Amino acid sequence: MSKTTVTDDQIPSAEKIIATSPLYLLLNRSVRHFGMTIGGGVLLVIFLMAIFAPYLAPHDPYDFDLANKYISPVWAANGSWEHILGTDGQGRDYLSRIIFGAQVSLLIGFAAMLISGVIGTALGVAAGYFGGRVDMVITFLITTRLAMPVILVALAVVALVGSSMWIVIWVLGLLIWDRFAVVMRSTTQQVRNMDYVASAQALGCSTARIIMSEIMPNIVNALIVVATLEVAHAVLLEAALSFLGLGVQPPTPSWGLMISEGKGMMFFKPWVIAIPGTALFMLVLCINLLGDGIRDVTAPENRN
Amino acid sequence: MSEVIINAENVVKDYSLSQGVFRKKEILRAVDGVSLKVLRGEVLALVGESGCGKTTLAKIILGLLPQTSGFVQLNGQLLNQIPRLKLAKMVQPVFQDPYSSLNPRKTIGSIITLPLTVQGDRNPQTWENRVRKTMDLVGLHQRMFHQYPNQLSGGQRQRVAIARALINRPAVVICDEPTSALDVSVQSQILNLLNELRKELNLTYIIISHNLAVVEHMASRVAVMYFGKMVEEAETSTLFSQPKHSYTQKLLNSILTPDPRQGIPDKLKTA
Repeated sequence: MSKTTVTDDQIPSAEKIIATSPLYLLLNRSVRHFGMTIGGGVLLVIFLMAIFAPYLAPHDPYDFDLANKYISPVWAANGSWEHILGTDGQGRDYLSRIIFGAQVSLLIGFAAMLISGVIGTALGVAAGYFGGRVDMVITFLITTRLAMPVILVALAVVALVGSSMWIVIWVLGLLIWDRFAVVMRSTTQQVRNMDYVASAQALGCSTARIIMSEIMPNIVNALIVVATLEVAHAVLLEAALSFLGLGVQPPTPSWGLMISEGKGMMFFKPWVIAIPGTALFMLVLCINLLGDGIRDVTAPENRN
Repeated sequence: MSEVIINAENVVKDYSLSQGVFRKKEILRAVDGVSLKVLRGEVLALVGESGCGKTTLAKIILGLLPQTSGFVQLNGQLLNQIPRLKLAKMVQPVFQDPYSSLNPRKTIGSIITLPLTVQGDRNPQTWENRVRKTMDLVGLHQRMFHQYPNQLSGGQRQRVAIARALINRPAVVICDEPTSALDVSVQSQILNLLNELRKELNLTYIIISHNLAVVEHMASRVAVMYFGKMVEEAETSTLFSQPKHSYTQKLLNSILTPDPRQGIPDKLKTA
């Protein structure tokens, strides 16, 4: 039996063990969070796919070829490697359209989330922090907004103003801030009653400083979770609007539009709607997994 | 004869209970015409049952709540005429619960430095010195500088809260039940620390407490509040030996003693 010898450089020094930076710990926890790794990983793939779409797509997504319409995907009996996911009713390559469609979905999802996030967070934090009259007015705004059905209003506005991608983004952004406002209002109310906010006031901090450095860091968890939910929400709404013909206009490749265009054939060629449907499902699932993961990982009770 | 540092005259605070625009106004009078003088260097204890307005009064003196009527003077100046940052250098609070008085997202270092940055000190060199000195003063180890509040015990957290209150050397510190959320063994450490700091830095304390043992140990004068009113005010020894108001008598009779034969004080004894 041989003795195991441990050399000095194999033993981590005490400083290395104790002096781990918060960022390192955060990364470490992120990697160990299963849902977050999966969600974040797949989302990253979709992101890269959207960014490098022109290099990845095997065909031009707008190139139609009526002689080759409804070619089955490669796993079907008559599929071919020429069109891995088959072609649609106008002979356009499905894989290329899915890849380019990711651009549309992500852009609309994130842009609408940013617009609604800014509006909703500003309103919610103001209502929760100042209370009283301000809260009454903002709560009234929120209830007014909640009384309006999103799809219906979006349809009406898009029908009136006309539809383009940026109009869809603005309409969604101006409509889906309600959840941001509701959640931010109640979390701000909770944090506002904490003694550390009273201490900051007693120290002479300005209101802006209290909101930015005492309130915001403590509600950012909830904000991230709502933000991811709203990205998913916006992606689904865009798909719904496109499906109804009032979202992104053809021939732009959009997953909602692809489902809409394929619905006539769905009993004969189910993959025509199953493929963009799966893409949509995966995107929404991954965004939500990532959001839950971020919430778990950044929770202060986890910091030890 | 030392000078009056806090002078409150006839302070009233009303809370509006009704919500909504069209409903009838209902008013709760939390502080009802309280007058109070605090001398420089003394320790005034505010006692009274829960909800009697002690904390509201403290918040008014801290400038966190506006009073409905009456006025508070600090060093002879009207409280609502003192600029925010100047007021912060005169009065500071130490809160009851050290778990909610420290922002869980900030390191101990940045919590203790905040008073300096707020006051416009932009030089990290002087922060460093003053923070380290203050941490030594309240008995915090330097390595805690980069730690987060949830890595500290209750007593250590309360020391951080005290350090934050003291770093700008205020004249008055208002301690709102500074030990009631702490372990019994830690309570006396914090109280002794407060006493030592008072002597060292020539501080004036207003201590709000339920715990009459704490009051007897710390205070030079006691003010008793009951339903928003100041019912009795006396030197600590006088109050404990000859309570005048019936509520004060009840309060003193309700103290638990370590002697098991005396049992738990209840209404029978005080009646």
